[in-house]
Amino acid sequence: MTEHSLKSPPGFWAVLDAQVRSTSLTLRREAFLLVFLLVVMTVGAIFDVMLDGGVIVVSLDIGLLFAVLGLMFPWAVWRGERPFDVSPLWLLPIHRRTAALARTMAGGLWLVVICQSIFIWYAGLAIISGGGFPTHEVRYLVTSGGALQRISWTPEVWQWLTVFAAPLVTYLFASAALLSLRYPIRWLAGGLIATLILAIVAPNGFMESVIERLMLGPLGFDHVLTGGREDIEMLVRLPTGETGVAWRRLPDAERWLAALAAWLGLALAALVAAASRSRRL
Amino acid sequence: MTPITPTAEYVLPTGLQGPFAVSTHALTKRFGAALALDAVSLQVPEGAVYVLAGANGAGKTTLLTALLDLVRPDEGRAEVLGLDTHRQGAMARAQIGYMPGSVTAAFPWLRIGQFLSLLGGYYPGWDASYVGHLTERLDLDLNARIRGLSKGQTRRFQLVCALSHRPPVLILDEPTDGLDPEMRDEALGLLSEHLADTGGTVLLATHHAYEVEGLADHVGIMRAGRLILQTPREVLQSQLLIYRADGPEGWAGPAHLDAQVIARARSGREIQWTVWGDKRTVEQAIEASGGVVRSATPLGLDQAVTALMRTKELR
Amino acid sequence: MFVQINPADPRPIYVQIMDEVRRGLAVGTLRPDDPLPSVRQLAAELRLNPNTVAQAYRELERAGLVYVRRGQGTFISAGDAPLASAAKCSVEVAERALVDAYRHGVDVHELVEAIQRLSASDTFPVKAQNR
Repeated sequence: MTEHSLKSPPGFWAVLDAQVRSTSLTLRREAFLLVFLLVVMTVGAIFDVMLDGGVIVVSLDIGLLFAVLGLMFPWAVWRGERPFDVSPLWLLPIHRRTAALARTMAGGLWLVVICQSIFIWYAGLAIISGGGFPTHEVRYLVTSGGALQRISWTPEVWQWLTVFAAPLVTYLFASAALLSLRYPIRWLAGGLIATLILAIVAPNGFMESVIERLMLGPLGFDHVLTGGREDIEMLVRLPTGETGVAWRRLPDAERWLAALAAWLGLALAALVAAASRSRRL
Repeated sequence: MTPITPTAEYVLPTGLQGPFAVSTHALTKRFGAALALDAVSLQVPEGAVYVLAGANGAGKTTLLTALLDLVRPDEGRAEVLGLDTHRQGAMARAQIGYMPGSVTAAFPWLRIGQFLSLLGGYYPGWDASYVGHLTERLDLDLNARIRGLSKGQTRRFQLVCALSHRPPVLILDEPTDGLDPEMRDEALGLLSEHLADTGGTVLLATHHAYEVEGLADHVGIMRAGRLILQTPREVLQSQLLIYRADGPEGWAGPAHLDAQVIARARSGREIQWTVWGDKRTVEQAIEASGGVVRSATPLGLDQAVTALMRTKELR
Repeated sequence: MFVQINPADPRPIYVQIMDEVRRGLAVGTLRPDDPLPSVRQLAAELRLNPNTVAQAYRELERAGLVYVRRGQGTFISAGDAPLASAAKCSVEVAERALVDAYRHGVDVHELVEAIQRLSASDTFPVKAQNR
């Protein structure tokens, strides 16, 4: 058989298209579960609002929920595939790294769609209840002199974007873990035990400082998760006499972007490395 | 060239005439201490229907999955239509239709039709009407969930997947396993048609050589990771014969047959040899010792395979 | 389909196909200009390798028993070859009988005698016709 009569493998867009369709069928169960949960929660919220007369205000904290969703999502996306076995995906006429990346991308796409749907539902519920988006929140800012300043704060548009960026980053990291670790549960258990041992053996405050450096600081993961809100918060004695939260400085879009770029880059690098792992026995 | 180290005096042929649709070059694979493939040089000529026979654990499945680049060989390499199965894996797999040997079906929650439509996305030039024809012939319901399929239905579904994109090379692992006689017959008919339409190559591993007797034109036999024989069917048929001879009282046959004796049995004054070798030479040797050759008949494919698989001396 | 194949038969399959065509000519079920099934059709019907069927057709053509009309298929020849082939049939039957006789240690005279005796008896020809 001559070279020109060989059958050609599919192009990347065809693969991505097929993977988007494939993941949509795979995620159907999760989608039904989500719809069911949203209906239940809607009913609950309606009762709440009608009985207590309260209102629902959209909170930026939904980003944390999305981040957890992103962390678990790869296991739904890869259901039915066995990354370290004769997986149907590895039999296809596609380079295996491309196949893994295409499936991760397709899953990521659905993650964004799901997060957006939840967010729209959440915002809709809040608006109907009369709460809507938060505006003119009362915040305390610690000035350079150390004094507390009362300010009125409305979350900026970029802060709402952090809600969608957070799950993407956790999703990419979790996907990389799923694709690179043959036994993710064992690694998780091993990691926990190692952390425990370190916490016991290491000098006082060592673990705290590691976690602090990883989470807070200019490139801390907190920027990815919350847009850096944890980083700027500190406990102070408020003028009312109670202990409360004050901000060191105002939330900063540039810091968020810098940290996001760093973590996204790291996640993508981890993903590409994981996707490149040999699938051969 | 030949992967067999002769401990016997005569060695069975293992080399074929190219061009080859599928070939491996001294492919060796160890799983721990176990040698799954021992310098296997498979040669499947273009357009051939090659039956790979061998007992369970002989290495057939490992060899087939190596062609899909699912096995990392310790030594050697494999080619499909001139494409290196590892370095050009995607391109090589685009030429292959594969039916796995196990019945675990992927994506049990999908319907057959959904799965096939997804599969079509990966094969440019997918012919949905042909796939419809295949499912109809093999009596598969496109709306059936993969989860609910019986073993036979799953095997048929896997065969449809393998044939669906009219691949120039079909690699089938125990294709008739789990099929009832009617569906097995239908499946073989589909294979005949596929061959007539595409002029393609088929490599199939099976324990049941008799089931593919009408299709096979090349035979390879594996034992303990080795390819002990690889030959065109007509060579097998002309070289491997059962000789029945009788002689005078006390006749014990020739001390030495100038050929590879696979088996020898005696009943009364008749001696039966199963021999690989030139017919004239064997007959002359028997006659020279005073025997009368009553018949020299070729073995059926299945008999031949069984006889060769059993012979411990063939190494 | 006029062709019957027995995988257990020691004759190669393409020879069996050729013999079946010869038999058809001898019995008269195949006549000059009758079409043979296409290679694809016969292969699919009998679950055979199309190459084997094609080989049989090639050999039949070489022997002058069939001719190929491009784009239309394979047909039984009109010349003397088919008739000669029909005559050859008896030789082949005799050959098979002889081989079998030899295997069983029966000599030629005994064989011929037995055949004559059998065919003269009332019972055997009836059985043969019923078969």
